[in-house]
Parts: sequence; structure tokens; C-alpha cells
Amino acid sequence: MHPPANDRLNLVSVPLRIKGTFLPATLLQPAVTQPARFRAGLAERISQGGALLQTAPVVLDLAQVTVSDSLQPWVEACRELQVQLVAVRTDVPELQQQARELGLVALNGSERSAPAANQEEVPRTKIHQGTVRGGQQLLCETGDLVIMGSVNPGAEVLASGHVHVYGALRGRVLAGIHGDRQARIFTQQLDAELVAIAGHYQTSQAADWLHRGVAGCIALEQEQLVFSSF
Amino acid sequence: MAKVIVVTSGKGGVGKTTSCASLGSGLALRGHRTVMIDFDVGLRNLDLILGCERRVVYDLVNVIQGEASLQQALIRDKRADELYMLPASQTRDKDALTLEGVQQVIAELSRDFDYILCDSPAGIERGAQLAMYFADEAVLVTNPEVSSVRDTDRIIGLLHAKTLAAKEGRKITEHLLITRYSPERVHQGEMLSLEDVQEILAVPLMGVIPESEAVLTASNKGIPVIHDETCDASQAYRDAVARLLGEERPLRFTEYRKQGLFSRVFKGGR
Ligand SMILES: Nc1ncnc2c1ncn2[C@@H]1O[C@H](COP(=O)(O)OP(=O)(O)OP(=O)(O)O)[C@@H](O)[C@H]1O
Ligand SMILES: [Mg+2]
Repeated sequence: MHPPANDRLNLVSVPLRIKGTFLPATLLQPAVTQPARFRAGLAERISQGGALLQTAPVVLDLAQVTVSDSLQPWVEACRELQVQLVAVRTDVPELQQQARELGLVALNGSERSAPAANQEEVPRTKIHQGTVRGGQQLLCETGDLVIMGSVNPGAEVLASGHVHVYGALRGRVLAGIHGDRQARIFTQQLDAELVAIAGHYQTSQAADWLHRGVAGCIALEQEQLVFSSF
Repeated sequence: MAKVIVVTSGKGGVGKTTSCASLGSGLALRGHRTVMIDFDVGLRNLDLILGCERRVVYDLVNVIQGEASLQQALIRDKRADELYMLPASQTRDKDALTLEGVQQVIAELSRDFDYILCDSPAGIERGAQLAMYFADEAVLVTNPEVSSVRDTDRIIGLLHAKTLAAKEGRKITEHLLITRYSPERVHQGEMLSLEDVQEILAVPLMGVIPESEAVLTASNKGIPVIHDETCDASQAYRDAVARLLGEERPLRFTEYRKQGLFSRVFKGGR
């Protein structure tokens, strides 16, 4: 009944994608020089509801205190308390070396966060003013596509992200063309020729619901395109 | 500087030439110096509708190829003083039209006229694109049926992409002209309604010309239908000309009224 993901509609298929991101991490900054006091304070904090330290990535920031000899007891304190330590931030080369030996990432003290791996990948929305006419094609490969008008029969609009149509959707619309299954299609009036999300498509001949004529949103749920009106 | 207006549609036989002749005549009757260029090379029929086919000596291709001057090729209309036309060639290949040639002709006409109307051939290919290339405004002739509406929609896409105005970032002023409109057939659900057409095309309406036998009669006589003041189509074209000139006119001949015996007898179904 529902056609499988189609490579042809998946306009560009790549085995992996690299995206720059700013993941939220928690900075843990010791204010004492003795590991034992640090551990006690940390344990107390967790018991008071510092559960974020145990679920989200944590960076041990040693910029404020001088940890002279070994990193080992500090890291052990964290690990014993199930703190999800992923990196140590310090300017001291020996400590950076120790961090790596302990299986952690060593960050420079001045480094604020990892730079985006590829600036081009920052999502960018494209906005089109007016009606998309039959024979025209509009493509946004960097994010969402917003159409302030209708998409007429014979027109085709495609985006790697969501597609918003603030008018009637009478043509073909493809969202998530690079495989984003979370992508959605929004319209003020659904009367489409074809809709597709991440290569899963539905033609108007096979699906009467494409001609509901009402406002709503199409999403991909368990390999099926599902329409819900607003 | 003249205003260049293309009369176009995509689909063939919807009433471009009929409309061009009547709009051009209407503008001239209102005192505007107007010239019409027939871009339908090979088919030539604007001259037939104007009834000047026997006065054609030179044509657009001759002018572009340097075989005749504009003055030699221009034909003056018998009925409206301010109206001229530049006929298409019946014999020459349509590739004889060049963009540079058309540009020169339009630039030269621009100095002497207020309006230049370009009667486009059907289709979306080179001929239609040449006719629209230098346009400032477009009259989009559309019949109230699905295929005509879709073709007009495609033409609007071309106006936004393939014209000089588009390339220079200017916007072409678009006017929707619905022709061969039959309120009765719309009422019976056999034709798209005015509202349906407008909703899809989203272009300001310049006029609705009713389906009328007077159009064919006028064409056969070689008199643009706008001159036959007794018929609805003429009145509707006059309204359209007024709107093109920026005047406000209420829509007429678009409501379905069941005809009584009285009007049937006295109006003869016109
Ligand atoms: N309002 C009308 N009522 C009845 N018949 C009409 C009307 N308008 C146009 N016609 C008829 O439709 C036919 C086509 O008209 P016309 O030649 O003007 O179309 P066109 O769009 O220029 O065609 P082409 O694409 O071949 O150039 C003619 O026979 C004409 O008489
Ligand atoms: Mg014609």
C-alpha cells in the first residue's frame, strides 16, 4: 500500500553527513585544591538534585584552580559519582597529556567551544514571496522552505527540512530530501499532486486525502505519511 | 516612452488575437497612439481580424532583416486614427526573428507611440518568449477551463524568469483577461467560475469577456468586435480598456440570469 523509500526521490543520497553543532555541556569548576574536598562537595551536590551531571556531558574546568600534580584523583572522584565526564579543560600541557591517557578530550583553557566543523551546514531557511507557478521548481538544500503564496499544479518545491506553504498546496512537495524523517509539510489548503518526506511518497491518484482542501500538517510516522488538520 | 504590453496565454485559440485587436482599437479610440505587433510568424491573423490583410506589403521580418523601413511596413487602421499595426510574415521562417531585431523595432516604435501591444503566438517556446521579452505589462488571456488556466500559470512563471524586466529585477504588471465566459455554463458546472480562475492564478482581473456570437461575426467581417457597440463583448472590452487605463468599472455579464421570453425575443441571444 505504502511505497517504500525511493532513492530517486531521495535526490541526494550520502552515507553520512557531518554537521557543526553546539552540544550543551556542563562545566564543572572545582573551587578547592584538594581532591577529597572536591569529591565530598560534588557528592553533596548530586544528592541535592544535580542529576544533570550524571546524564549530560560534563567538562572538568581546571582554569580557576591550580592542580599541581595528578589529574587522576579528580577524574576518579567524578567517575565514582557517575558524572559523565567527557573532557578536561586546562592550559597545563602535562594535565592535558594525563587527560588523554585517561581517555578524555583535552581542551585548551581559552577555547570556548569546538568550532562548527562545516559552516555551510548551519541550517538556513529560504523564503519565497508569491505563488510558485506550474513548471517552476524551488529547492532549499540547507533547511526549511517557506512559501508565502500557493504552489500551483505542475510546480515542485523541495527542501532538506520542512516545507511551509502559506497558501494552497496544489503541486508537488518534497520535504526531508536528504533523509530527514522528522521533516514536515505544512499548508493552508491541501490539494497536492504528490507529497514526500525522506523519500516516502504518496501520489494524489493513490491517496484521496491529498485533496482534503483543509489546513494541516503531514508527517512521517512508522513509514507512513500521516495528515493532521490544524 | 511607450508602454509595452504582451497579450499572451500559453494555450492556443483562447482569444489572444481577438483581444489584442479590440484592446488596441479601444486604446486608440480613447486617444492613445497605439501600435500592435503580430508575433505569430507563419500564421498571420491580426491583419485579418483588423480587415487590413490586402494592404500588407512588408512585415516584421522584412523590417528586422533590413529589407523595409518601419514606416513602409506599418499599416494604419481604417477605423481608429491613432492605431497602427506591424504584420507578421506568412512565408518566412520564425527563426528569422532575432532578439536584437525585435529590440530595435520596439525601441524605434517607443519614440512615436504610447502603447505597443505584442500579439503572442501560442505555446511557451521561442516565439512566445520573444513576444514577452521586452514587456512592461502582460495581458493574460485565459478561458475558464483547466488546461487554459494551467498554461497561463506556466506563462506567468516565464514572465518572472525569461523577460528583460525579470533580469533587471523589475516586476511586470499582470492583468488577467478571462475570455469566452459563459455564466450559464459556469452555473451548470461545465466551466470554471471566475472565482476559481482568480484563486489559482492570483493575478488582478482586468476583464471578463462573455462568449458571444458577435465575435465570430466581427472577425469574419474584419472589424474588431469592440466597434460593435450593441454587443456585450464590445462593452466588456471597453470596460477592460478603461481598467487598463486605471479606471474603476464594475464587472458586467458575469452573473447567470435565467432568460425570460422578453429578453430572448429582443436580444436574440447576443
Ligand atoms: N468572446 C468570444 N466569444 C466567442 N468566440 C470567441 C471569443 N473570443 C474568441 N473567440 C473565437 O475563438 C477563436 C480563437 O480566437 P483567437 O484567434 O483570437 O485566439 P488566439 O488565442 O489568438 O489563437 P492562436 O493561439 O491560434 O493565436 C476564434 O474563432 C474567435 O472567433
Ligand atoms: Mg492569435
